[in-house]
Amino acid sequence: MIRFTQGLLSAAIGLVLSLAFAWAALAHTRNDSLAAGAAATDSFEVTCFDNGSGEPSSLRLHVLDSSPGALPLVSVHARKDDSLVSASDTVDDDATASPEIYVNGGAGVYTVLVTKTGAGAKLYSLSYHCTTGPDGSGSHTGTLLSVRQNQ
Amino acid sequence: MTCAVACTTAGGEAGAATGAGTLGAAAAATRLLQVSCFDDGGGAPASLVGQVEDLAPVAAPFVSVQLTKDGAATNGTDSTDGDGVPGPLVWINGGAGSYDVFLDKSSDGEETYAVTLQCMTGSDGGGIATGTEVIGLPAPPSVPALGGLARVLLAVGLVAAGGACRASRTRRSRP
Repeated sequence: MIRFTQGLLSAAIGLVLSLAFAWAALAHTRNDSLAAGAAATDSFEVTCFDNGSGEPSSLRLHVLDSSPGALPLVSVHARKDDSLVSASDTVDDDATASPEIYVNGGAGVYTVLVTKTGAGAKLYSLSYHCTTGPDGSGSHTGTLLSVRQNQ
Repeated sequence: MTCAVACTTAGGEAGAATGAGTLGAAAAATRLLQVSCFDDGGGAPASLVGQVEDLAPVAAPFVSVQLTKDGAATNGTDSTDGDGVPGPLVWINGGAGSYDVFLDKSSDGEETYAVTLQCMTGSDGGGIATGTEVIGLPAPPSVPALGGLARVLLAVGLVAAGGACRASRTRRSRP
């Protein structure tokens, strides 16, 4: 009976941890919009830190254009120190996001911009995750986003 | 004015800092520039203006420029490749200091671009041009590197030419 209870407890803890990790991953998706002006740009800072899961090595991102219609395309740009990467979702309103991009910048603050290629309001979903390995590999670790400009 | 590794414009000059470069075939190819806005006598800077032109040959990706400073950012995209018309002028009001400029494209395919950057004394790109220093544009193409065979042929040619010169000088020196 005691063994059964211990097994049940272990399973429950495992389930809670799995849900916590899934929630953490989902929590690092931001649904937002860009106004109609061609120059509209959203600006963020993403801070990567060790939350107990390990030292950050990289930031992994992609953007999903969730608006109906065609152009403009939605793009994400990420920079830390001398490293700059960029990706665009080249097909609107499908379930496929832009290619994943990575900045191997370790712990600290990354600059992230979301832009579009022309006039027209856009909805987007930005995914951002700090990980312990290079090129977005390893385990998920401390990730905090702050909004610097919302257009 | 063509800008290579670094360039500066004088205050009040009509010409802005302009440079050209290529973004490689990979979709994620980018270039990071740094612009310093300062008062060179033209007046204290209030904003940075930028513009990108997607040059021929025509290719699928859109070429874009982003200007950013202290969390503020803007974007300009040239929506038609190779038509001789640059993308829209864009600006941010960041005053004096260092701005970051991103150049990138929307998908796979090599792209050639021209970028123009200018610090201005007024907000929203107004006023007059003032001190602008751009760092990070690619250097002009250098002389192509020679292969091993070409180096041997060049050396033989130089030796032969040198011998001919010596012979010629010797002949001329005779009475």
